[in-house]
Amino acid sequence: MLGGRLSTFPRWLCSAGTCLDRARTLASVSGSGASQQKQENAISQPLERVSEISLDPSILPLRVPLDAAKGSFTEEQYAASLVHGRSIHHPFFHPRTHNVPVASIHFRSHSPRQLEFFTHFATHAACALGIPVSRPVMLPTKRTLWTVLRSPFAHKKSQENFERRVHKRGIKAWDADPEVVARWVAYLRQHAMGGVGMRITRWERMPLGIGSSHAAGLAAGFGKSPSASERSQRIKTLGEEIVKAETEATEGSVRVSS
Amino acid sequence: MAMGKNIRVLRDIKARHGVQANEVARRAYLFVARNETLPPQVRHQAQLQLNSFGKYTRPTTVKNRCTETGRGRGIISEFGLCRFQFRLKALRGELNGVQKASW
Repeated sequence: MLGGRLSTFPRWLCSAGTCLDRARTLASVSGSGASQQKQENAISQPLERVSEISLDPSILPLRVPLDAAKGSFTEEQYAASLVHGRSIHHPFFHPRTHNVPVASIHFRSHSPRQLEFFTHFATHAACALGIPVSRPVMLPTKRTLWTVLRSPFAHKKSQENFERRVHKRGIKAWDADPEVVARWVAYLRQHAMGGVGMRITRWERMPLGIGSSHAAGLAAGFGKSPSASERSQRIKTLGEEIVKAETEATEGSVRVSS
Repeated sequence: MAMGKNIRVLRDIKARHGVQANEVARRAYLFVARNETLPPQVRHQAQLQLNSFGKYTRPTTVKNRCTETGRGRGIISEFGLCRFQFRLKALRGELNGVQKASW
């Protein structure tokens, strides 16, 4: 029954299912009758609308702290000690301290719902790591259009339109340590979602004196010709060889004929 | 072999191989033939050498063809398909993100 009811919810709210399961576990674990009554009421409430779930905190399970003196506890008891259902809300966005940009991530996908899900995940991950990030920003959707004839031959008047949309979102990050940002990026890469692409731009502070060392490195490598012009250089040298061979040949032929 | 295996496709494959094998030499001769600072006789010789290359070494003989049917016209180059194969595949949902539109 529970599953059937939840199946009408959008996919990104699926964690609500976990939340309700945890509520049951919690009710069975906690000994006090009053809180059990409250939880039962919470479960029996009709969950018709998404907004009710996301806005009403009273239906979310309460936290049951673990008794550290007991020492051992089951996995279910540990799970009940966590606050579940937070993932369907917005995370707490840490305020910026120095306004120094450290990373900018662009997400792109054909499916806006997958994109919304994954940006939600990315912001939660960043906020859990304590990185001040922006909310996901809408970037312009790229729309590519094609018009093709319906038939393999002739019948120009009967055509069909196709399109492909690439939806984009951007998240910016500030003020975090490069190592923390690297962790965040690695976590996002590890849990990358099929159908959602990421483009990560990171900025890092360089140590003092980087300019002079960079200039020294440039001076050392200045003698080498760049790879882009190697090809034209090769053509030129080969051309010169041909000129040489041809001039010799023509001179020889002139001598013979004269 | 998914590709349409007709003579035009085979010819195109042959041309692609020939162009790749002779590209540097051809362009070297072109460099000589079009270089106005060189004596006319040398340039003429280079032009004659250029003409002696086979016809499947010219880059203009390479033509994009439909990877399914080998059709040479109406190719949507992003997918390498002719317009009809593009439509069939798009309707079957085999092209990522491509869907029917109306405006």
